[in-house]
Amino acid sequence: MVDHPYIQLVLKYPHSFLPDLFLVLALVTGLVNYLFLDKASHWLFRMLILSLGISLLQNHNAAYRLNNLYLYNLNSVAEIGCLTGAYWVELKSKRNRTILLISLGVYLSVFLYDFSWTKIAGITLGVQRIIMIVYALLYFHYILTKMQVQNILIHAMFWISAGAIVHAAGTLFVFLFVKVTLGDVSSNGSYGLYIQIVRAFTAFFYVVLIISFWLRRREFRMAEHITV
Amino acid sequence: MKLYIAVGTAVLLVMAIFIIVFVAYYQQKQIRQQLILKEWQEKYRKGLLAATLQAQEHERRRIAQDLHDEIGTMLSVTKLSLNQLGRTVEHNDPSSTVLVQKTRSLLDETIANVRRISRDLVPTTLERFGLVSALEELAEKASNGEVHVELSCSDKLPPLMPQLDLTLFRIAQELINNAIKHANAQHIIIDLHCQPNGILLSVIDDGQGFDLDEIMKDRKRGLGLRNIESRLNVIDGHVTFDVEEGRGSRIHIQVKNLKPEVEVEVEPV
Repeated sequence: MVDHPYIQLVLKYPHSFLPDLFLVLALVTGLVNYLFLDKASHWLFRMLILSLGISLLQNHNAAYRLNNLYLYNLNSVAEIGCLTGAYWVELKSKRNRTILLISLGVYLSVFLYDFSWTKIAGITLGVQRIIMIVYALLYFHYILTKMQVQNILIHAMFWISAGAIVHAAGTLFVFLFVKVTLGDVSSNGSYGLYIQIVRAFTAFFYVVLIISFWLRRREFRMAEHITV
Repeated sequence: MKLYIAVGTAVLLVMAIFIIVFVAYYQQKQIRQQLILKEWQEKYRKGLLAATLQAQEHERRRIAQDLHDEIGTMLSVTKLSLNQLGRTVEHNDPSSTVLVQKTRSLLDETIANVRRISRDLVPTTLERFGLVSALEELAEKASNGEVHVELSCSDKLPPLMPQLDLTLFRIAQELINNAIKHANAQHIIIDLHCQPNGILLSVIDDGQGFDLDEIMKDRKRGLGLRNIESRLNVIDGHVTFDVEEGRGSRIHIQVKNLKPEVEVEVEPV
């Protein structure tokens, strides 16, 4: 039983499962609060499902010592696609939606150019982070100009944007300079350190999503209370 | 290179956190300002409404005074002249006596009507003897062979704020008028009693009721009810309509007998 590749993988790299743990927790939270989620949160829930599927495949490949680096690239597409969906629902103005479409177009072009089955597409992931920052800033601009949110500190989409901007800022340079950070996979190389940084920020983003799903429930209840 | 990456990441993170804190702080500040602005707007609206009502009362007073002092005096002088004319006519032309008498009775009726309108425009009883006496008088005036209006006042009323008794009187006047004119009520009860820090005025009738939503949608028909709401808005009062088509109505007015935000001057008669 202990010799099973999955068990071996967990025993050898227990800390690498931290983001997966929070990913599962975020999915469970999303499921528990599913009835209270709005359209934007539904997109984030879809993103979590896709990320879990990709993560399971990544772990399977890692356990059987198969190449799983391309799955980072595929996860990036899933993430940016669902985030664009979430912000598309929230940002209704023509200008904002044009920016979302242009950003997605730029990302897909870079993805097609940079994609590789055997290595992490650093530029693609870097561009993804930049686009995440742009989306978050667009949303911040929207809430500051529209002034429709009464209490921003319990507004789910604000925390999602805050989580996205921190996650993107923390991992942007790691992927933009992927050759320096994740290029050296030797045991005393920097790969281990940088991939842990990426995992920590990913775990943080999932924690923010967990909080935002609960906040969404609260927002829904408050809106219901006001309506009644 | 790794140092640059570390420094760059740290700078980006600090900037991200700064942006998040700034957005949260600035948005909260804007919301607070919006709330203050709304409060001001509400206060201004109330002030405007109070001023309108005050102007309305002022105008009523002016018309009542003009009716009493000018039209009333002119009618009295006309009556005197007619009496003199009557005496002359009786001696010279006895056939015109009937016409003079008819004119005199018409003149008496006109003088009485002018006095009544003048008195209705300004509730002198309210200012001299208070709300209960004014409502008693109102009930008495509204009662006739077909309609019976009754005042029920269990408690001794505490001293009311100046505009409060006038507001309650005008509302009662409007509701009784509605009950008689539109609901064809035969029995109306005005119930007035004290509550902790406030007054509850209820007007209950056995009329045919009405559909509140439909009346409120209609700009012309709902004018009286909207006027009641406006009056209550100025003094932070509250109205509850327990009404339905086909049955009697119960309308409850709740007002606080506290010092209001907007002062309304009431001119002495």
